[in-house]
Order: sequence, then C-alpha cells, then structure tokens
Amino acid sequence: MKAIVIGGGQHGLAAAALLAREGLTTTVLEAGSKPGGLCRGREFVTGYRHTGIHHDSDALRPSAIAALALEEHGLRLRPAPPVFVPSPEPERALQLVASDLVRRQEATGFTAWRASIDGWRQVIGSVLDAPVPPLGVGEAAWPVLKRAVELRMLGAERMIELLRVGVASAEDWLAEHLAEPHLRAAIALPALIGSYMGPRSPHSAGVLLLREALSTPNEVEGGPAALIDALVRVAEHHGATIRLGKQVRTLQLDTGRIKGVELVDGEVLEADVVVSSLDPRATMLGLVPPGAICVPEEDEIRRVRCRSTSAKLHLALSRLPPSASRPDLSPERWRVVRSPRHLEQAFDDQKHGRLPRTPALDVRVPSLSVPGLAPEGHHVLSAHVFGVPARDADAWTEQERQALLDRALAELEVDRPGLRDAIVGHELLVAPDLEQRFGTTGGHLMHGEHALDQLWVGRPGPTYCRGRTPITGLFLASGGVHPMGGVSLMAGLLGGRAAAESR
Amino acid sequence: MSQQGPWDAIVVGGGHNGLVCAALLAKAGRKVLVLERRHVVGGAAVTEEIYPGFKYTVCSYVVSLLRPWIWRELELARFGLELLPLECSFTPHLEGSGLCRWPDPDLTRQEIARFSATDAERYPEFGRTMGRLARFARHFIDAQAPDPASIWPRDLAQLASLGQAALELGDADLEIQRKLTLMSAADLLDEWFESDALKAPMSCSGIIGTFLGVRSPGTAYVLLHHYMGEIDGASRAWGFARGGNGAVSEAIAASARHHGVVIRTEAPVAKIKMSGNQATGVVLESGEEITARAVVSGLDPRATFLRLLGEQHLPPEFAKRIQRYKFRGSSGKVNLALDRLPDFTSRPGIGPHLRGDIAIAPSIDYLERAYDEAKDGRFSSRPYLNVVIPSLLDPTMAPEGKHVMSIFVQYAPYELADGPQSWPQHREAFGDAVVDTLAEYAPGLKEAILHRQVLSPWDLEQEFGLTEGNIFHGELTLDQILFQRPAPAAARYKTPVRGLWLCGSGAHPGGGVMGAPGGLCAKTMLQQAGV
Ligand SMILES: Cc1cc2nc3c(=O)[nH]c(=O)nc-3n(C[C@H](O)[C@H](O)[C@H](O)COP(=O)(O)OP(=O)(O)OC[C@H]3O[C@@H](n4cnc5c(N)ncnc54)[C@H](O)[C@@H]3O)c2cc1C
Repeated sequence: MKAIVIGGGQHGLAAAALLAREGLTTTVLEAGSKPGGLCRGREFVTGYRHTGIHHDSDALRPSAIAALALEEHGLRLRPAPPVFVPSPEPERALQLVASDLVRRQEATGFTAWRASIDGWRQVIGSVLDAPVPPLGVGEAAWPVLKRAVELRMLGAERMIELLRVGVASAEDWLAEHLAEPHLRAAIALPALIGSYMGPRSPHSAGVLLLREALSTPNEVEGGPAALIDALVRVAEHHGATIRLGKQVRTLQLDTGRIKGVELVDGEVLEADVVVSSLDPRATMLGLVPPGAICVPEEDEIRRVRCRSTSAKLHLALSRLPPSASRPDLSPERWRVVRSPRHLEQAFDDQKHGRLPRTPALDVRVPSLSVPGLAPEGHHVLSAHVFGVPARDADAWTEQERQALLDRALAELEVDRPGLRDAIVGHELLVAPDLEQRFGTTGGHLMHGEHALDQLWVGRPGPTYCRGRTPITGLFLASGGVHPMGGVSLMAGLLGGRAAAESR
Repeated sequence: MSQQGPWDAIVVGGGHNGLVCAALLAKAGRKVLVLERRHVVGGAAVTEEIYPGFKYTVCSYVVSLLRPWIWRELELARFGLELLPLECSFTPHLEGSGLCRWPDPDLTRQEIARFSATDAERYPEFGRTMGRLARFARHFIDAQAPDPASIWPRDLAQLASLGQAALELGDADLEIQRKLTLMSAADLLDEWFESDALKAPMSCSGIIGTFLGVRSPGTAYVLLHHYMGEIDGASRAWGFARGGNGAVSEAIAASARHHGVVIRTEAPVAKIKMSGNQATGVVLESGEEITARAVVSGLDPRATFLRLLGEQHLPPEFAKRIQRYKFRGSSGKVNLALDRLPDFTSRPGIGPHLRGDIAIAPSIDYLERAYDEAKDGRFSSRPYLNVVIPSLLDPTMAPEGKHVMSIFVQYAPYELADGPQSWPQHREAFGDAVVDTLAEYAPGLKEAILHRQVLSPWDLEQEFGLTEGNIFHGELTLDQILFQRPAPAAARYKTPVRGLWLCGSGAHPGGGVMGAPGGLCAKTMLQQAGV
C-alpha cells in the first residue's frame, strides 16, 4: 500500500515515520530544497545559520519522543535554559528561576502560579494526547464522560478554578499572583505569539495555560533543526523516501477517494493514502480540487482564522554585546517586554494596521549553545517580534520593513547597547514572506490561531479535528489540527495514526 | 399588616431585584421589610423628573429580559406595567442613508441588500438560529446555576438534563452554540455576514456593560440576548416601559406592597449585624438597628460582603474571590431634554426610524477603536452610542412638542488615568464628546438641547451605589457567570454567611432588568426554608 506525505516538516516527517513503520510504502514530498519547514535550520546570511523559524523545542511531547524512539536516532535532550527578562532598571532584570525570583520577592507568587499549573498538567495532557472523541451519544459518550470524571477528580475547587482561569485574560490571571507588571508581560508573551490576543483579551490565560502545561523542563540539543535531523533518520530507517524540491499542485481524486497527487513539475504519483502536513486551509482549499467537498465542509475550513500578529527576525552578529542590566549572565533566551500595557498597545497597533510603537520580542541566541552556527566569536540572534500587522505583501515596502526593524532593534538595544553596530546581516520575515516561503496560510506559524474556539473539536472544525477529511484516504497532520501548533509533534502523530488506522 | 417587626426577612436595597425577591417572599406569607438608600425605589431602573416636565429613564432604558414567570406571579400588568415595542434599529452613517432594521422582514431585507445581497438572504436564517439557541439559553436563566462540582443527585440530574437539552439541539446548532460561547462577537458575525454596516450594530450587544471590545473573545454569547426577549409571551427584541423603566420598579413595588411588603426609602444600611456566623439584621446609617431571621442583599457582591459585612466575617478563600470579582465599569449615560426631535442626515425628517433604538456604530473598527482608546483610562473620543427617544413612544415623558433622549455610552472607564475621583472634572467634557459624536450624524442637535444630565461610572457609583459604575453588578464575562457568579460558594443565592442571601444582579443569571436573580433567590429561600 502506498502512502504520500505532503510536506517534510516536523509533522509530515513524524507521520511518515509512523506510516513507514506500519509497512506502507511511504514517500514524503517536500517543496523546499531541504526538509524541515518551519523547523528547518537555514543559512540566512552567508556563514550564519539559525535553527528554525520555531526556535524553542521545550514543548516536544515526551510521549512523541517515545512513540518514534527518537532518542535511538540521535535525538539528545538538554535542560531548557532559563528565560532572562532584561529591564532598563538593573535591579528589576531577572531570570525566571527560583533564586532570581526570591531576590525580587516574587518567588511565592510565582511558585503558587506554577503549582496551580502543575495541578492541572495531567488533565490537560490527557485531553491533548487523546484524539477528539466524536460528540454525541452512544459509544462517543464514553471518552467525553471519562474526561469529565478526570476533571472532577481534580477536586471541586481545582476544577472550578481551572474553568475560571481557562476563560480569563492572561493579565488578570497573572496579576493574581505576581505584582511586577514587567514580569507578567514576559510570562504572557509566548501565549500571544500565535494567537490573536493581547494580554487583556479574555481566554488568553487559557492559551497561556495550555502552553505552560505543554512545556517540559527539557529541549532538543541543537534546537528544532536537530529534531528534524532525528526525524529524517527515523523516517528513512523505517524505509520512507524523502523527495526534495517536489511541490504538490493538486490532489487527484476518483469519486471522493484519493488516487494520488500531481506535482507542479507535472509528475503524477499514485497513492492509496495521502497525509497532508500543510495547514488545513492550504490543503482543503488549495490542494483539493474545487467541488470535491460539499459547501458546509468547505465553509468549516474557510472560517479557520489565521491572522498573524508577529514577524520573525534573524540577526547575524559579529559579537554579542553584554546585557547592560546583568552583565554577569549570558542567557540564551530573553523576552524583551516593557509592561502588559505596552504589550496590549502593540496588539492594538497591529490590529489597526500600524507598526507597533514598542514591539515585544521573544529572543533566542542559539549560537551560545549550538556550535558551528556562526564564525568563531560571532553569534546568531533569532526573535519573534510581536505586534506586527497582517498586511499584504505590497504594503511591506522597504521603508516599512526598515521602520519595523528599527523599532525592534531599539527595543533590543535597551539592554544590549551596541547591538546595532555588531550586525553583519539580517533577515526580517513578515507574514507574507512566511506564507510565500512555507506555504502556511496567512504566514501563520501555528497553522491557525490559538483561540479557545479553535482548539479541540474546533481545530480546525468538527469534520477534521480527528485528522480525517471528507475525502476517503486524505488525512491531515498539521498544527492546525488538534491539539495545537508549535513544536510538539503531536498533530503529526495524530494524523499519521488516523491514516494508518484507515487501512 | 403591621409596619413593625419581627421581620422574617430584610431586603437591603430596593432595586428591582430586591423588590421582586421581597414580593415573592411576602406572597408566600413572609413578613418582609425593604430598605432603600435613595428617595425612590428601583435602583438602576428608575424614572426621575430631573428637569421640570421632562422624565428621564435615568439609567436603564429598555426592557427585554424581564422574566414572564415573574410578570405573571407578581401580576405586573394589574399593577400598571405596560410595554411598548421598540419598532426598529437604526444605524445612521455619515454618508449614505444608513441601515434600518424593521420588524417587517421584507423591509429589512431590502435595507440590508443595499449593502450586501448575500447578507440580506442570510439575515433571517441567523435570526432563526439565534432564536433556537435562545430557547436553549433559557434553561440557564430560569433556574439556579448548575453546579458541576456537586455530586448531589439533584444537581447531577440538572447537569444531565442540560446535557440532554444540548444534545437535542443537534450537531449543527451545538456547533454554533460552541462558537457563540467562545468567540468574539466580531469573529462570529464574520462567519455569517460580509457587510460591516450590518455587522457593526449587531456586534454591539456583545459589549454592553462590559469593558471588552467587539473583537474580544467571549463577547459572542451576549448576541443571544437580543433574541431572548419575551414581551407578553411573544419573542420580541426590545420593549419600552410606558413611563420609563421606573414604571417597572413601581409596578413591582406596588405588587410587593399589595402582598404586605413594607418599603422604607431614605433608609441607607450601614452594616449587616452578625452574631457568630449568623446574620441577624442590619444597622442603618442613622444608627437604628433592625433584626430579622434573614438578610437578603440586593447590592452587588463587593458592597455586600466587603462593605456592609467586612472581610473578618468571611472564609479567607471566599473573601479573595470577592476581591478578585471584576467590576470595571465602562459605560455612561447622557439624558437630554430636547426642544425638538433630532434630524439625521442619513434619513432627514421625522419618521418611524426614530421610534426604535438608534446606534452609533458605523463599523467594527470604529467600535474597536472606541474600546482601545479607553484602555488607558480615557473615555472614547468617538464612543459607541445607543439612543432611544422615549417621548416618541410615550408622550407623557415630556411636555407637549418637546422630547427626552436617552443615550447609553461606551466606553467611559471608571478607572480614569487620573483616578476615578477625577471624573467630576472630566464629566462635562465626556458629555460634550457624546453630544459632538451624535451631532455629526444629526446636525442641529446641540441647538435643540434644553437640559443635559451626564452620568459617568463614578456618578453611577455615587448616586446608585453601583460599585465601580458597573451596570450589571460585575462583569458578565465567562469567568463570572453561572456557578462562578459571584463565587462558587455564593452562586446559588445562599452565601457562606448563615442567614445572608444575595438577590441582586451580582448573582446568577446576572444584570439587566429581568428580575431573575431576585425571583430565583426568593424561590431558593422558600425551598430551603431559609426564611
Ligand atoms: C446606565 C445604565 C443603563 C442600563 N441599561 C439597561 C437596559 O437598557 N436594559 C436592561 O435590561 N438593563 C440595563 N441596565 C442594567 C440594569 O439596569 C441593572 O442590571 C439592574 O437594574 C440592576 O438591578 P438590581 O436590582 O440587581 O440592582 P440595583 O438596581 O443596583 O439595586 C440596588 C439598590 O440598592 C440600593 N442601595 C445601595 N446601597 C444601599 C445601602 N447601603 N442601603 C440600602 N440600599 C442601598 C440602591 O440605591 C439601589 O436601589 C442598565 C444599567 C445602567 C446603570
């Protein structure tokens, strides 16, 4: 039996490895010249490489590592480095670690906050790990009831509290525990990247909670790019073929059943099963021939919201200027934020189509731990820039790009004076660039916004949330399908399993 | 009946909910005393003649959710309540003739079709869908809040029957219900309609009384409110009480008195008296003490638990919940006495379009900008307005030929940048922003104004006792409704303090002139022999 996997990113490779292991003749078709998609490491300035558009890998699911035996194929984990939060006032700069927090007298609140998340981790994990049960009565009622019982087993108080926090705003939730606004902004930031929310938006606490509950103390040594290397090895070990430079133009169907794919270069490949790791919109609206699915099924996909509120910045640096607030530290991860109010403003700015007055940055300096990314003594800085409007490509003139870059650099330079002078080259990728390069709808890094209605049965919708589609033999393995986007591999396994089970 | 104790129950606050609760208790044979701080009963549902000859429906101005069962049990029609239907929803624009939605579906279709033919076709379907879901929502507003944490057979049965009702909706409606619960009003409407001119005024019901924008997640479910109204048993959007919303309170008060309730006005309560963990009565500001077997508070949770009672009498976890309970008033009100009717450039002249509600909501972006502007503690320079001209429906509201205009305004944040107490300095500027905004659509308005009353959230707090000026006794966001309102331990009217009950809008199912919290509180008290 033949399987084709469209897209050789984390999810596509994971699905391919599963299918090949199950004995299917599996071919991965990747449009790029190298596998990896948003996790692919790339030389963005001659001599300087990053480790992926996604730069963190601490959400990688331990169950996924085990399922694919990734550690037998060269995947190495290391403790995820602490997050540093610089501040113009040196005494307020700190790392999100116990010892620093004690100094700032935020330790009690932070510990209580972490403890409440730990109390929910298992329930959340079991919802995310399991496929979405079909809603309704009969056999379906059982898994739903099981989840309800699990929830109830938390104890009345913790259950009700979970239901409250889940729909609260990140700022309200964090303010209940932490007095320092600047700290709250730093903690909230990663939940905002990938959703269409500011810290004051209701439900942002729910998204933050999910992300926190998914994060582990470990990450992949070498970053997302090294995860791809391991996935390629597993997939090939099980016999999958990875073909590069192969872009699929359309799916070929035979009376509602998948027959194969046609490539842009005209080649036609036959398959019994096709798993697409493109985002649901790109697959169902872009690859499926028009008219193949009925209107309500198409509407369900058309309604998936993919509004990007961030851009990606890569800097090649001749040196890494020390932190002004904590010269004693050499942190790999920073979050450059001012306050929840500034974050909210950045969100509002992009909402009204303006450049953010003060963009917030989720920064990583992979060259501090991964050898060979830059010439000796040089560095690579990777940053998600939050507060960037989703505009059309032609609205991003050179001038506008430069203005955005300047504002981002100005924020970075507050704690790293001299950074600008150390820049050897840069790459700024706004949403249309990401869309063009990776094919993700709206340039959205999560293959669809993280929002409570776009999770679980709503990711991307009741018809598709189990990785199946109305077309027999076509499956989805994308972050746009349950459970969520980001580097976790879960959606890939889910889609791969759904396809394998279909035989 | 005697004007003296001993009282079975004292109701603190003569808002419409307090009155409903008192009336139902008295109807069941209990001796009830209502203590109201102001000189009139009604709280946020009052009509007052602030300027001679002109009656303002000072705060709330339309009726939609007043529960039919309360209406029946208290015989409100017999006690003088009459509702007049509001005929249409008009959204003027600066250019073009705006949009007017009429009771006649054909007329509405034609109006919408000027903006989008597909929207015109879909509009009735949206209404029908919302109508079905509104019927489902009634399971929630006419009963105690479900308690997902309880293992009592009765509570499990309630959960099961709600689950059953949800399944009966069918997959398609259940999916829409899911979206309604979780999405923003703007995102949800985007799924149905393409025209901003239609979506903007529709989205407004999602933000009324809350400090959120139309794009904030969790605002979609409030859209249902518009389809939940029942007037005289018929499903209808909004009605206007003849005589203003004070007439609602007056009718309830008359029914209450008929059943023997004693109502004292200008009787502000200073403290709830405690003996051990038992509320035993109240102390008035005058120092007078009155005892009763039960104390029922129609005030909001913060005023009740932290001001009248005091943290020392509460379990610490509960006190923390009440402190966290969000108010964040963001609405204001401007009442005008007018020499003549406004003339909108969109639709010149006096016509039926003036007889409904008039919304200044030209686009989703306009509304969202109004919200964003207010986040940092300023009132919106171009706010969302909801305007009604009561005197057109009920000529007794103003001298002959003259008119009164009620303008509900968002956003006016309680928490101004210079602090809430700076509102008196900003009040008139706020009033100017409101009038200027409206005058852009109806030039000549300013010249027609005989008198203007401006109520900021600060004024709502000072005058009506609404904490932080929140019109609903606390935000109606998902984390503060049902079993979370105002806290799990007090979500069913009974509180952690023995003998103290909550019957105001800060209890399930929340704010609005609907009488449900008061009515359900009375029912619960009688059931549990709390009185
Ligand atoms: C400007 C505005 C516009 C609104 N528009 C609408 C609308 O159009 N339609 C709608 O359905 N809803 C509307 N609402 C909401 C609705 O009016 C309220 O939710 C509802 O009236 C609240 O009723 P209640 O009985 O729960 O509380 P309240 O009406 O607040 O009653 C509480 C009572 O307690 C009294 N009190 C306070 N402190 C003391 C004390 N210490 N001792 C004794 N008495 C005290 C107060 O004076 C008041 O009478 C509006 C509200 C406002 C403020």
